[in-house]
Amino acid sequence: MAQGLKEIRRRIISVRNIRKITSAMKMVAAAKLRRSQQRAAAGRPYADAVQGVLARLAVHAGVDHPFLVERPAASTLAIVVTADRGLAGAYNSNLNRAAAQLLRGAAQPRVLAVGRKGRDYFRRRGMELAGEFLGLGDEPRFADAQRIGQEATRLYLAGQCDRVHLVYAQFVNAVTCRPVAVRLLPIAGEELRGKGTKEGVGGEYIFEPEPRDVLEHLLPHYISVLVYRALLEAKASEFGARMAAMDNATRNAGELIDHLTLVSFRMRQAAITEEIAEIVGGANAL
Amino acid sequence: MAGVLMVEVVTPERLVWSGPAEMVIARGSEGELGILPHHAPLITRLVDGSVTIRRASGAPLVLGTSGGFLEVKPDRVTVLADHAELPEGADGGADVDVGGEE
Repeated sequence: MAQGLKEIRRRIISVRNIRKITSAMKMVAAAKLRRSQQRAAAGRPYADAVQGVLARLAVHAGVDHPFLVERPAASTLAIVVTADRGLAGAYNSNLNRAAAQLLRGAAQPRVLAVGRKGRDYFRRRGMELAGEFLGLGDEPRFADAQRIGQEATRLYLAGQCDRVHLVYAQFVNAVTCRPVAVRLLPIAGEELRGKGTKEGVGGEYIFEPEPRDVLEHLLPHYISVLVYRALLEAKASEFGARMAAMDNATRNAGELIDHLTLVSFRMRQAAITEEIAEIVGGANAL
Repeated sequence: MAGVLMVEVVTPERLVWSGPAEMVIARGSEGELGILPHHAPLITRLVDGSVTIRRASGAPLVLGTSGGFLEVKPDRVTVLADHAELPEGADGGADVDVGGEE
């Protein structure tokens, strides 16, 4: 009996230590979440500007480009943005499941893994990996997005894939994120033009140099911007998910401590009662 | 001459500077450009170098930029640079994230 009591007391101490860690992780995630939201907001003016220029280019110059040409979908590449680390609840597995679902119907599916969790998942399932980008850290840079975008466009232009999808967690709010799959390549031309006419810019534009040349430089940028935005949103979602998961873990630890404490009190009381009974029994026997 | 330009200098990671100006001088791929209010709409590539922003008061602001594009609308100039640096000690104009790296 006394042995069991000691055991329970030890468990209480260890759960208490775990609770300290999870609650620290929760606070760290909350702070990082705030930062990544700020970064996502800071990147928006540029993204809007690139989209605007591209739309006007499409409306006024009506240009064509390999990125805008639909090809029969013989092979599909999914860029899967996951976290490098776990302890974020269902965050990573939801993303992997969304990506797997996207690729299930596709011919010749391949994965470009951004983040360790996605890479490990698809490697385990024997999926062909077109490449991997790990260790982008808590604050992905635009240069990272450019490298990913360049790799995807290289594969696309080389004819190694006819569709490029981007799977990432869209940030809804601190506790909600939604895994989404957006098509990166080919770019839907009507979509670009649609945005241009909505803004209603009249008059002729001067392009220096040729519209074609501007477009050629701008489109890779556009791809990088989309990837960059996905990376930032994914980071914010990851921290949100981790914060929620650690909040749950902290609460569960608290409940467990309460329960174990109650059990330990009961055991102690039972031991005292038994001792008294023994003493009384002994006294009566005299 | 009447009119002001609303100038915005943006990079992928942040808004570097924004505010009103009288003239913007930039180096496009086809040569140097001086943009005054009511300029014809224009989109051009930028070459590495500097963008000079002349304001109504104070010294002109010279930003170092690399890569990117310039879009001109009659009353608005947007510099989309890959990188842009404000000169030391320059104030960032309106609502600017000065944070960056630490």
